[in-house]
Formats: sequence, C-alpha cells, structure tokens
Amino acid sequence: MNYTLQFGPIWDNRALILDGFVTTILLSAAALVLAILIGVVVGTAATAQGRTPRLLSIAYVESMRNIPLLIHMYFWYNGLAFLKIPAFWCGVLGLSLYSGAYVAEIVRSGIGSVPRGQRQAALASGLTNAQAMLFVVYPQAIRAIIPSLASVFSQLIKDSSLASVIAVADITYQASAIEGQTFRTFEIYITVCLLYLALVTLVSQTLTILSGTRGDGLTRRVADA
Amino acid sequence: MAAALKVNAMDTPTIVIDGVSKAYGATPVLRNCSTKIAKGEVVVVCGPSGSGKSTLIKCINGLEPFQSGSITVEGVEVGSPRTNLPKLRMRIGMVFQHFELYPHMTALENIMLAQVRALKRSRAEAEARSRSLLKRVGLEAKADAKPANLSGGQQQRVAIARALALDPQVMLFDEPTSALDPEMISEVLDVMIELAGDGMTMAVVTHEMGFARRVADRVIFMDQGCIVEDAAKEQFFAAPASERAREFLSKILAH
Repeated sequence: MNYTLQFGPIWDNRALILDGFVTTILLSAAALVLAILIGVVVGTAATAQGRTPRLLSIAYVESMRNIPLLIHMYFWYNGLAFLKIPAFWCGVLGLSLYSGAYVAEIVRSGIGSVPRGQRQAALASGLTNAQAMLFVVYPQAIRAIIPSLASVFSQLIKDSSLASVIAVADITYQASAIEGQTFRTFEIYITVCLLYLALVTLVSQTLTILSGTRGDGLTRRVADA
Repeated sequence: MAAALKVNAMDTPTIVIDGVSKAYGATPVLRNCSTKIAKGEVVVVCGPSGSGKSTLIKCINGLEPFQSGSITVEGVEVGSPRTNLPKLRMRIGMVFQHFELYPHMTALENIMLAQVRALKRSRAEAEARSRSLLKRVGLEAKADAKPANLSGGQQQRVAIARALALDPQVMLFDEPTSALDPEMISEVLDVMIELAGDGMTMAVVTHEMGFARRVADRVIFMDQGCIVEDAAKEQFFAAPASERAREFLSKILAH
C-alpha cells in the first residue's frame, strides 16, 4: 500500500464536478416537485369515498414501487426511445414516478391521521371537498408526515445517481468520466461522497427543523386527547 | 298567540324526513324514519347508543348518505345528485360531539374560514361577524387562542359560533355536551337555550333531559334505527307511549 493521495487532478476538473453537482440538484428538484404532485393526487385518491379512485391508487403504487428504479430509467430512455425524450427528462420521469408512489403512501397515511370529524366539520360548513382538503385536512396532515417525507426526499436525491446510466450528466456520471481520465479513483469518489452527504443532510435537516418548530398545535392536540 | 304562530309555521316544515332507511352492508342503522321539523321548532332526539340518532341527524345535511326515502330541507332534496350540497350546507349549521375545531387555526380563523371560502364574504366583514359571535358566546377575549389552549366548554362555544357564522336557517347538534366535563355542560347549554329563545330551528341529539324539558317543543325517541316515539315534550315526559322509552327515561333520570 503505497498510494499517494493526489487531489490536484480533481481540482483541475472542478468545472465538470460543479456542472454535475448542479445537474444532480436540478434533476432531484424537478423529480421532487413532480413526485410531490403525484404523491398528493394518488395519496388523496387512496382516501376517496369511491371504489374506482381507491383501486387506481393502489394499482399505481404497487406497480411503480415494485419495479426497480434502474428498469424505470432504461424503460423511459431505451424502451421508449422513439419518443425521443431528452435523457434528463427521462431521469426526472423515472425518479418521480417511482418516488411518487412512496410519497403517495405517506400522504395517504397522513390524511388518515387527521380525525374523520375534521373533514366532516369542514364539509358541514359548506366548503367543497377540495376546499376541505386544502384548508383543513392537508395542513394537519403535513405536520404528521414531514419526518417520513424527509426520508423519501433524501432517498430520491441518492436514487438520482441511477440516472447516470442513461447518460444524464449528473455528478455520478461526471465522476466516472473523471475517473476514466485521471485514474484518481479514490479521490474522485470521496469528493462525490462528501457532496452527496452535504446535499442530503442539508435537505433532511431543513425538513426536520421545519417539522420541529411548526408541529406544536398538532402534538398538543394529540397530547390532550 | 304563540300556539297560533306555531300552527301556521307547521304548514311549511323546514325539514321533512320521509321513510329514510340506511344500512351498512347487511346491518340496518335507520329503518323507515319519518318526521317533520317546523320553522322555529326545537326537537330533541334521544335514545340508547347505537339507536341511529347521530346517523339520522347527519343525513339531514348529507354527511351520511342513505339508501331509501327522502329528506328535504327548505324544499331542497338532500339525497338528489343534482343538489348543490355545499350550498345547502351553508344554510344548516352543525355542532359535533368532539367540537372539531381546526387545531391549526385560532378561534377567530375557525369562525372565519367558511365565511370567506364558502360564503365569499370579505375578510373584514367575516372578521367583524366572527368577533361579534365570539362576544355572543362570551369568548371575545379568546379570539387569538388556538383550540388546544381552550377548555372543552370554550371549544364547543367557539364551534357553535362557527356554525352560526353562516347565518343558518337550521342548527343541528350531535351530542354537543357528551364529551364535556360536567362543570362545563351548563355553559354550552346556556348558549343553546339562548339560541332556542331567539327562534332558531334546532335538532338536538342529547341525553340532557333537563335541556329537553326546558326548551324542546318535541322529543323523538329512537331505538334500533326506528323512530319509536315522536311526541310533544309534555306528553313524552308525562306518559311515554312505548315500554322502551319508559325504560330509557327511568334509567336516564334515575342517576
């Protein structure tokens, strides 16, 4: 073992690394927004009165969750190559469809944690179903689900590295390119590890802090009951 | 003269319940229930638990669907798919056993929400109305308190103010004092008695027979999903027709 650490070649490629890091952030952010949208719609459908929305919701969650994310990536990029969707958006689609199923499960349980009478009271006062969800149910549900959401969000950021297999130039992709050029394998991957660690920690800690300071009403209500 | 007024009002009942039945799967919860509630009338619904009284009252504003029969409120068919339920519900206030104040909003915001979002009042108008209602239930000082910081009795009074904020034609009460500590029951009943005195049309599910004796016009007794007895208050308390109601009354009045 006489390996000498050389971060020089890594520093020389800092523009590529930064570019990859920005792509990772953009990819995760776009997938996150879509996953939340999917999760809210599908998760709400799971709590609907009617049978059809509930069945559709279950079908979505089960089919999306039970396919490996890597296959999602190949499917959108290679399987549907004739659609000519840019690689970046294939990555966004695969990630958001897959993570959206997990968000949906969390949203469903969050809505379930709000006492049934809350929605009834909102409806009884003349609010529409959508208004009752928006003003009464969701604001209470979100406090209950922030910790679980934080874990899905950090999972999503980590999962975004799989988009490198369909040539999305994220940080994982750039790392392997730099590795091939410089042969500084350890140095480049320790750099990438630290960058992922920083990003995921930042996102999950932000959400944890948010839930800690804003959950007062709900926790007290639960404590009183 | 009061009697004459009442007879007149009887001609156009506010609520008509006609042959309503409901079942959860094979279990019937309401069986062929029929009654009418006139404008300004206060009707107390009582009966053992599981008799269907809460379900019946929740059918009136469409919170519980029913399979057969019909309910009309001021001539509007509740069960019809063409009925705009949110619009109808704005005219029917409801108070729940567990208050159901929104825990993430202050008392004031609780009362304002439906005024602004359903009735489309301006925020200023809604706030003024909310504050005057809080004053009416004796809680003007608690406008900015969250429900978690109010006692049960105070929460229920805010809930009554919230229901009144839409200027409803009818008020439904679903066991409004059942979840309260005994010392808080009277503060809620006092508000309801005042409301009855103002001529509000009320349907009240309750075991508070003192309240029934004092303000009810009629008492409906339910058992196993049926309306067993539907009688003027005096008649109900003096000589209930059915054995089941007699038994219930002796139990509830004995302790």
